[in-house]
Amino acid sequence: MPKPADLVIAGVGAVPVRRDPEAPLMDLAARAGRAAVADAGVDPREIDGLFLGVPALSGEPWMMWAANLGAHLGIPTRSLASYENGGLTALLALRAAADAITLGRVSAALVIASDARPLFDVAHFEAFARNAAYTQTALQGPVQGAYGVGAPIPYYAMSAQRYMHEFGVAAEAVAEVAVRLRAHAADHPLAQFREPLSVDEVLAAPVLSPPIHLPEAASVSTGACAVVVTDAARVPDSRRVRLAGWGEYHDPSHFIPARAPLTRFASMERAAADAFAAAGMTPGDVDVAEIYGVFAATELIAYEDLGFFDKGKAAGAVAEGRTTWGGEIVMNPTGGRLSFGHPAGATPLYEVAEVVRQLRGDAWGRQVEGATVGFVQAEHGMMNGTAVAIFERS
Amino acid sequence: MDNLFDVFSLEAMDYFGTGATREHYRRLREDRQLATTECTACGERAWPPRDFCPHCQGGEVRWVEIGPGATLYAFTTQQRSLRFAKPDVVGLVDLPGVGRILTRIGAPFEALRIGMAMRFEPLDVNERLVLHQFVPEG
Repeated sequence: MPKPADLVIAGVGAVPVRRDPEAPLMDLAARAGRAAVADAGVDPREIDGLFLGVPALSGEPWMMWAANLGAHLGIPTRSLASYENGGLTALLALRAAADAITLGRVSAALVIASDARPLFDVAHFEAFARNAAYTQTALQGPVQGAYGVGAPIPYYAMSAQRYMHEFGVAAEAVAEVAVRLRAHAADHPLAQFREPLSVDEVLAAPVLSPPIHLPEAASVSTGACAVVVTDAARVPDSRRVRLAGWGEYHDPSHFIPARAPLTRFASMERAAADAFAAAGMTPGDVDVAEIYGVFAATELIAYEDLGFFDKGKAAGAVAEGRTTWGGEIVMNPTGGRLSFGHPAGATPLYEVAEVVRQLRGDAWGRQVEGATVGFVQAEHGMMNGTAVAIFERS
Repeated sequence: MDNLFDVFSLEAMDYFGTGATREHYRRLREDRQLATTECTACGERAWPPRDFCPHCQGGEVRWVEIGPGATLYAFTTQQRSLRFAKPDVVGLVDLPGVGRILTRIGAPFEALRIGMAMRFEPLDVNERLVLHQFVPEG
């Protein structure tokens, strides 16, 4: 795999993550995109590629989303397209931008992703279910889909149950993850959930699917985030956060793997290994990481499968403060998916934006001091496919 | 609510448009049998059943009955199912020679333990649709 030596994230822009949208998604996307261009300090006329994540979860009609948003922004391009594959959506748009620049098709790319999670009215559950039965059955395939699982919460719950069973991780230790992430979100201006949270409160909260309590789950969120990708030669030193490595692996399974455990995931292990190899780094080199942990136990599994802690040891590391400021690595300084909020199609770009800010040293006073290497991960299905990007301050 | 949206679900089950999906549901409904496809070249069994082999990409498969015995790998419940009334207990069971499959569990959540011996039984959703479910052995 060629090392993409000259690619940098020159600018980032975002709207706050909130439960209720302040504006239509097209407008949120445009605002995030314009903010990223301004942050990059490049002339808007230099942007010649537009790479979009579609708001697939939102229920918005997203056919020709790219053409529509490109016209709305008024930016002429040499490349214009949308990308989608579940939770990887935004990172795939970023990868497409990086590839286009590497190939010389584009010189400066704007990548924008936006998403929302529609809420259904309990009083109209039958109407909701009528549509959802079709889309979810189609989404999950003709056999798996027949069992009536809507949101994939039960799947992740069974992964959590099995992980806790095999590695002797107590409910309190899993709840501690949610508490730690909430503390990280407390001072983040873009985060959705910032009020304090205790282990007792987590364990007293409603259970979604046992053993998952409500605060141990990613939320209902709306957001939009954007980054500018270009060649290092086009931007000043202060805007040179290099894309140092990329890894991606897709297991041939969709949600439930017929022949693999639910306690460790080959896609995470292999994507991370490839990204570290491409960057010439090891997990020990990483100062700050944004992880796509959509449930508390999933977050622990990810810390381990991505190579940061031995199997079964992540909960202990969290409890000992090794994953926060003052520890060996700061995991999810945004508050992660549980507290930062989770507009799924846009989430990976929020992860990238946070890592870029941390590496530039302008993370709103929540700085990981001296950070030079950052790590971003996202996944689709239930860790059936994973992508990892490693960033380095030049 | 089953009748309300089963028409949509049945359409969706033909999503891949393969005879294997239809044959899978026909065997459950008419033969009261859980079965899948086995590759005549490499001998691997697929889940879910397909009209080709996803392991060696061979194009010839035969149907084989699987189960009825299985081991409970994990289980949970969901607040709102798109098909079943509460309490909806779902689980994953390991079938020897096949792998781990999603299933409805025909027992209360509280009665279940990881590693339990389970047994297949057909579950009549309506006259057109029969699914598999697993219940504790004995």
